[in-house]
Amino acid sequence: MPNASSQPAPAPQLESVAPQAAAPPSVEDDGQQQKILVVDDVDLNRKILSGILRNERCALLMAEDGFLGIELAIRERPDLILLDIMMPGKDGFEVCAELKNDARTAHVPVLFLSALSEQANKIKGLELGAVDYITKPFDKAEVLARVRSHLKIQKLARELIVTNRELVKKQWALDADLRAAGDIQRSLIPKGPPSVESVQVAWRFMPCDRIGGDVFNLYSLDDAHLAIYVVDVSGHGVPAAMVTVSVSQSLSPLAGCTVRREGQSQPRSAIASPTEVLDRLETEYPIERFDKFFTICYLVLDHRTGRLCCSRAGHPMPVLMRADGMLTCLAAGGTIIGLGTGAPFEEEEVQLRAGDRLFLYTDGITELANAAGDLYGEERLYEALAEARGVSLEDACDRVIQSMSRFGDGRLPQDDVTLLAIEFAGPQAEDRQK
Amino acid sequence: MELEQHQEGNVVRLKILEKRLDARSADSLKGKIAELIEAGNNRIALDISEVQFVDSSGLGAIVSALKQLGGKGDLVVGGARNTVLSMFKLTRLDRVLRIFERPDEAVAALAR
Repeated sequence: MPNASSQPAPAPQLESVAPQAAAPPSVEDDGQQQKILVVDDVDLNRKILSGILRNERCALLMAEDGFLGIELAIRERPDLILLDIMMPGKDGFEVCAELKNDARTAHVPVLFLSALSEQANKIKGLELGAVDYITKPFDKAEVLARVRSHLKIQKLARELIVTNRELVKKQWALDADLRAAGDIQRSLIPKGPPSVESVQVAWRFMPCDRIGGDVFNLYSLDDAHLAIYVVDVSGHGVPAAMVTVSVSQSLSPLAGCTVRREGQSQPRSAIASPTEVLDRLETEYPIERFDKFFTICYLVLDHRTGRLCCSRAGHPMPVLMRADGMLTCLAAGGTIIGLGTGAPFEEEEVQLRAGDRLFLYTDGITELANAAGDLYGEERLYEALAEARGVSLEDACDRVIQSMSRFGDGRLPQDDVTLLAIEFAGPQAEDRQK
Repeated sequence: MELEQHQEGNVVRLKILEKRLDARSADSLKGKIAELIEAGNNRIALDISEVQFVDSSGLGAIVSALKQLGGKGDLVVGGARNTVLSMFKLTRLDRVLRIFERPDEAVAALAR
């Protein structure tokens, strides 16, 4: 921020010659009278120009040589400079070069005043950064036309700079908001692994534009059960992200969607089954509510026994990789949440054994397109998962992302990408003894 | 989006001439079908034989059109390629919508 204007005025003699701080074109004088600086050593020429420009709505500044011209240009910051070429001391070319080399004056348009015969001079002047020239002897209509058009351009240019600056400011504000929103969305996903010994997790959560329509979570419903879900709201960006906030709230243990409120004595029976949860979401999120629909995969895992119950609503099928490497997809489910089709959801139960892995993901992975328009697809994903057998869960996630990036040849996914990997270490000792 | 529309008896055959039915084209398809329904057309056969890719937004547009008919008519789909058909199956919409192998079958099913 320049601070000169708000400071008490310095001693007058300093003020008049103090060089101004290097700054982009001033915007404070917007709407004020524009200034034209005439630099010409011939008194008659200055008088003629002054006469021609007398009725224009602008202030005229006169300099009788190049030195004074530069000084005035720096001090007064004119909107236009009319510059004679042939001058004793410092000629117009030198003056122009100096003005263009000085950040304080570089943006001020320079019009050379040149005789008709000086064709080479005109070209040289334009090469030095002048925007135009006015031929001598002066023709009133030509002078007025050129001066007016360049003043107009200069005015528009300044307005553009002001507008741009405001846009940049707004963009900054928007970016800051988006970053904050992205942080809020990240607060919806787990901070770290669940505090459950038998379950390991790893994930990659990559919204395509800082914030997106994917969300996932994994948390304890009681001392035996983990709820695990991955959600993909239609569209991406802020509107989809706002719906993810709402959905993840509905799915929080406090909201009563995943844990039934009817106080039954058996703690386990209070856990809502995946289909009950999906039915509840279907009622809660008709497309009319937010003009959005979403897919979800919802699982309940008994981490003591490895019993897994899962269902999905239009979501890509979770992939189960057995410890021996066999891949199966968990297909049970129903259609997309929000469409109100009335079609029922189905769920399936699977017994996880030691070393089994489960991969949940969103279609940002399989719908990644390469330059040829081919999709990454399920097959490549299954292949990458199979190849990652035996490496750590984190590495397995990396392998998938690397495989996508090789396929897309570095092209970024056009959709949000979520990959959640879960490994079951095996039933706990007390359950095995039963 | 590019569409071709034919009236065949009491059935409107609406052919999608786009390769992708995704977030970008879904809204205009939704709008077009809404227009047809408002104009009193309640039997719509959607020919998607040119479509090579459909995402959840595209599917959403089709289903919301079906919802708009609200049981007072029918919307069926014909000509789905394998990749597109697998999306209908993956999202279980094949249980919600009637899907025919050929567009002509879709039209015929509604003409009955």
